[in-house]
Amino acid sequence: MAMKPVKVSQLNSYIKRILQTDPLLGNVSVIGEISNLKFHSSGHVYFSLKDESSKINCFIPSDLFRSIRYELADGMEITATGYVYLYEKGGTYSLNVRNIEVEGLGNLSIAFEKLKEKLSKEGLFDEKYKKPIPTFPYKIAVITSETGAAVRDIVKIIKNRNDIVDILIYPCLVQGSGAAEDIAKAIEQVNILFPETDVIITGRGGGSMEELWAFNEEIVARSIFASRIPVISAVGHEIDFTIADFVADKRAETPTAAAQLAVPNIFEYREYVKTLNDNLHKNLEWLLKHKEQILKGYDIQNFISMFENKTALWEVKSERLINDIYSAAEAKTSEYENNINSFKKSLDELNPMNIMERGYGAVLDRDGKLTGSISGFVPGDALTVVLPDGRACCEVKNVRREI
Amino acid sequence: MENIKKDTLTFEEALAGLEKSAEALRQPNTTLDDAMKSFEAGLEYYKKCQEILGKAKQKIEVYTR
Repeated sequence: MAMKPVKVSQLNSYIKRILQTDPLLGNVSVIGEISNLKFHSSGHVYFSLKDESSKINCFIPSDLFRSIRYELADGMEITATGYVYLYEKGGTYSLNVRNIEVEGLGNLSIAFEKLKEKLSKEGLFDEKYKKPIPTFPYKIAVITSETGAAVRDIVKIIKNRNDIVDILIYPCLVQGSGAAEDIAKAIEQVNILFPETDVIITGRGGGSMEELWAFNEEIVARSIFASRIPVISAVGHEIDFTIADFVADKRAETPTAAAQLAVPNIFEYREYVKTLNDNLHKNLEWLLKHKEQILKGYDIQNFISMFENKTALWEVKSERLINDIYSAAEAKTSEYENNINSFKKSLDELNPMNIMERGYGAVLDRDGKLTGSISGFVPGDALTVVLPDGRACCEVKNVRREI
Repeated sequence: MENIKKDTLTFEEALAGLEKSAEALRQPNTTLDDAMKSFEAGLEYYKKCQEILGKAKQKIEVYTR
């Protein structure tokens, strides 16, 4: 039956109604490889899903994109769930995506590397943001599944090492959709409700990459980074590395290792403190003994004999000094005596009396001065002649000069 | 000689203080006066350590939302 011609918009409107009321197309999951991935500045995301022979345009509105658990990249195979939408103006249809699942190691590794690169560029893994893990915590918060193996291991190890620290188990989902939001919320809540917490341990036991994926989601990484309380990540086994491990203040290889890292062995500390106290007493005893030994060295008898030895030495020294002074004085005296004797001899030799004894006399003029010459004598002058036994007053009769 | 702020002392500080006090007594040239001060400080630190280590009142609770 032929239909009356209709307008384009009427046709598109009709098709739209057919498509959007179809129960299958209203909620369909499509497997395909991402190509032409574009992030619009508005926050909406556009890409195509393709297989070997066909492709479909896909659209993720910005508000839904934020809840997508994986970083997307061209070449990744994904399962996109959504509904088929018709754009009436253009007559094109697309898959309006509500959720994306990624499976398989290869695809997950692509998402992992992309997020790692993105957060690393932002500096979330920088060493400078790592908070130190307190060495003596009083409260540990464990954010994990209440029923998992991880919480049992952690509690067991903590109890074996420490009977002081309080343990707060904050239950959360650790796998599947919603787990990442749950973990992130838990970290935030512990910071708000239990600010006295010294360390947070978050993690879970081993599993496949899909099972551990919550710890590879951006929302968890951001909440660990924002936590004021230091966070130890403890996800899976030694070989499992997650984004949470990179952003955590400390990565523990396993939940057991996290418990060992987080709390000190109190029983060892108790022993150690006892030993230190013993040492304190022993060392004091030793020091006092040591001082006593030194005091014994300062014994009074010792001091007296030391003093006696010293005085004897001083006596000998002073005797020697006195002798030295005496002999020096004697030497000086005899030197003076010799000098005096030789002066006396010279004086004796020069004594005028000696000449007089040989018959000479000294003639003094009127003024009593030795003359030694006739010049100036005139007859009638009074002279005095001195001889050893006295003086004679004379008068000059005449003067004869000898030539 | 430092004053020991007994109430605000952390375990790490008390332990370090005890270690230091014990070590100070091993120096032969420590004066008797200093030795007695170190010893007394050491006893205070030891008491503080004991006080902290003695509080074995571990609480394990599961938070319910």
